Amino acid sequence: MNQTMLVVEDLSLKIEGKEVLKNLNLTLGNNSISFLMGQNGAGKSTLAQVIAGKKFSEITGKIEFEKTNLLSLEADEISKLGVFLSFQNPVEVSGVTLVSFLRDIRKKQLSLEKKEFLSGEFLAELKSNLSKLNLSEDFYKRDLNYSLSGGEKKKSEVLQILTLKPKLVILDEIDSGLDVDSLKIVTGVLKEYQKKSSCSLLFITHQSRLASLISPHKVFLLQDGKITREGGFELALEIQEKGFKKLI
Amino acid sequence: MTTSLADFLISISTKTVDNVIEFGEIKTLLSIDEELPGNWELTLPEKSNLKLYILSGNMENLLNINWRIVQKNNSSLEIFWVLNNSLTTEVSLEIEVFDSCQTILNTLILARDSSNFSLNMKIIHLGKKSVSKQFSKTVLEDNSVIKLTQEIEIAKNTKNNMANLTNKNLILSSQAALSTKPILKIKSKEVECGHEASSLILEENELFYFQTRGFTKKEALHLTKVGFLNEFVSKIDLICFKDKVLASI
Repeated sequence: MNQTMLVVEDLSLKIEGKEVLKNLNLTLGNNSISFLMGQNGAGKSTLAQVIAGKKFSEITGKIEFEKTNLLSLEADEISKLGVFLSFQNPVEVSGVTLVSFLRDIRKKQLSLEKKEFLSGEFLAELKSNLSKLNLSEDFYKRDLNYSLSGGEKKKSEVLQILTLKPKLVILDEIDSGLDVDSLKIVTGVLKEYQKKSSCSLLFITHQSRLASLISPHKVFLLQDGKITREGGFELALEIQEKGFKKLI
Repeated sequence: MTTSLADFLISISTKTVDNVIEFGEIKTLLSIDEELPGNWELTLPEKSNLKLYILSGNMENLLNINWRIVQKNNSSLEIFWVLNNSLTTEVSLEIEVFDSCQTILNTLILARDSSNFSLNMKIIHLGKKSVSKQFSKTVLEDNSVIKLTQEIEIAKNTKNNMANLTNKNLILSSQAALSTKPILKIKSKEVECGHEASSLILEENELFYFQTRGFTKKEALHLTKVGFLNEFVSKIDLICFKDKVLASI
């Protein structure tokens, strides 16, 4: 593994008195592809949201991204550091077109980097990204996630990734809602982006089928609020063969 | 006070920010301040066509408006009325509609702080073959209060009228209070009427989603409002008014 990018240390979280995460430890390296797997309700999405800046009152432990403590930051500040969470169920926003949203987030990002926003360049890149995702050119005129199919919403999330160019991408069930062909397209685009940008991808899933398309470097098994096993690609295959219950 | 259309336009011209005449239609942009008399009676002559764009608000005093408009046969009236964050606003608007008229009443209320709005908007169909639409959107923040009554009455012995009421609300604060009352009084059999109402309460998830894309909470809130109000704003065909409305969101 390369240099460490994200460290989660002794993270515990209670929601309405119930322990959701229990002294959880997890480390991600730079330029890596990892899987976080577990049954429904294991705490995977909650962990992803905590890393991305969702606030909870009863939380202890540490999350460091490139040595910055994330627990003290707001979600927008975490985003500006280069962390992106692709939502399992992206919110639908009518009245805000995808293109204006993408333009706004890119403009904001470039302004932070003190770089000029070039409209022509942005549109050319957007059209190229739409083509990569097998989406029609007028897809960007549609409202943000509004009345989109499950698969289109996931592709809209990937478009945002390609626009924002984050360093760490957390993909919460990117495979849900995608048909076989679309899943191949999306995973292909993500792998290409990872290779080109040397970013890190963390896939959250309870399906092992994704592993055969992605070939993760590392697989974490999250059970009952903590990481119970970690390994390589072979762990995903073992989960596929035995199921989660037999690994408890 | 009863006023002809010409007198009405002359009388308001001294109090308007802009008067715009486009494409043979009369389009009048009104910016209401406390000097505008609250009581008006206006008659639209036959075959006349009036569009009113009204922006009122950001006032410390009570705004009390009581208007009555009579539409003669074959006249057309469209109103865009944006009420923006006044301390206390009371509006009563009654429009009487005769034969083959078109009436569109678009209302937007932006309520913040401790503002208190009470609106009664009523359209009465007295003739035949007329079409009326009431479309309203409200946004409530902080401790604001909105009471909105939208009413359409189809009088007895009228024929072939069509009427529609739409009301959509966005509630951004648990301290805000909203009471809406859509009323359809149908006293004639030959009529086509419909109504639609919805209220959205901002969910934390939506704000969080925007934040994960780099927007601050304040920016995320603004984006939510812009999205919600786009349906209203996109209907506005007078650019200078649209700009004023966008600036007030």
